Amino acid sequence: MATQLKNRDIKYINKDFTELRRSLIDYTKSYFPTTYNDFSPTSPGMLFMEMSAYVGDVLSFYLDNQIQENFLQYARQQNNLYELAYMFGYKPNVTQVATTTINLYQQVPSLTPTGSEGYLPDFNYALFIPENSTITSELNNPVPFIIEDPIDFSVSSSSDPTDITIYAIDGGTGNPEFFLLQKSRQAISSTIQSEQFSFTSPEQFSTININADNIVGILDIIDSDGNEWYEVDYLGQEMVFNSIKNTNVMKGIHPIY
Amino acid sequence: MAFGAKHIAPIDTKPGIGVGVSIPFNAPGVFNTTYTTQKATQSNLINFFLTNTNERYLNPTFGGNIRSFIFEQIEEDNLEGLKSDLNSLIGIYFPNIQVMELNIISNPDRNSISVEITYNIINTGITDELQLEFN
Repeated sequence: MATQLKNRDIKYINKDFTELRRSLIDYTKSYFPTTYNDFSPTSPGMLFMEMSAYVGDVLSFYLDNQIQENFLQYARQQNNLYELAYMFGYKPNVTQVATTTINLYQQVPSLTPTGSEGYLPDFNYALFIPENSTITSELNNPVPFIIEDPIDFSVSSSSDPTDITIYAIDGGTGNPEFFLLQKSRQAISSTIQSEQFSFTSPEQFSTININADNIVGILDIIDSDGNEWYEVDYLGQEMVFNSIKNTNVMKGIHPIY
Repeated sequence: MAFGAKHIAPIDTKPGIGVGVSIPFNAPGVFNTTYTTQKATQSNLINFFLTNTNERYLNPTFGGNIRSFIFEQIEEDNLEGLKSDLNSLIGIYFPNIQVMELNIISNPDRNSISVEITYNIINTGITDELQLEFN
């Protein structure tokens, strides 16, 4: 549970007008005892001390404010909150898109039972649909949806279950002939567009503008040689880990599989 | 107690010890130091009369507010009100002086007022007067 910060004021040197005024009076008493001794509020000398304390008070306020804006839990200004969040790897959603849950079905034949096992779906027919696949709704005004995650009908887990039901029964034997596999995925209403840019001589921190509105995100960057470019947290990063499907073909042969 | 004993402010017993800062600030490069309570009180009174209310940081009631007053209609009632206010404020900010006479003389043709104050510093027997003109 997040802790609620009730007192959000940081006092870095804890000096306000009263403190600075008192410090100036003490300083004068210590170092100029023969020069100045009138510390009543009517004295012109106190006028200057209070002006100095006022300047110190204002500077102290700005200092406290600057320090405060350096901490994510204390910052108040929106742009500073964003900058601090960026530093911690936060990527804001600048475009809001419609989302929906899409159920995907696949019909697969049943396997002839062997031994004591009953009828099972033949997962050799299971499809693998890659990420960023586009599905269009069947309406008068078709709307394209993108499924950002891949769909593997052959894999079922608690986080990504495959719902298996009997789809068709052999009329003669009464045994399952086809199974129906079902998976669910979140989809966003968007389209994939591509744009090409030319880079000539090397340039530090070169920037480009994408001529499009409502950009949800960058899917990939491919150069003319077919190399894929990745966004990294820092330019010194030299390795990007990529996920691959464990097809189990090396099981028992190589220990890392 | 001896008859006719003269009271003196402790700071005045040391002639070389500065009390405050003199007004006007007309010393070359540095401020003039006042070495007696009498001179220091005089400078403090000048400072008080030259200050408007709400001018001092965190001390909004300090000041004679006369520089603001000269932009108002100068009438007898206003002058009496100003005199009353000044007497009250001097009582608050100068507990060590006793006002013997305070006159505010208007000069509408020159759009100015003069403040004449005669006072004595309590327990010292020092009597002094001050005259300032604002326009």
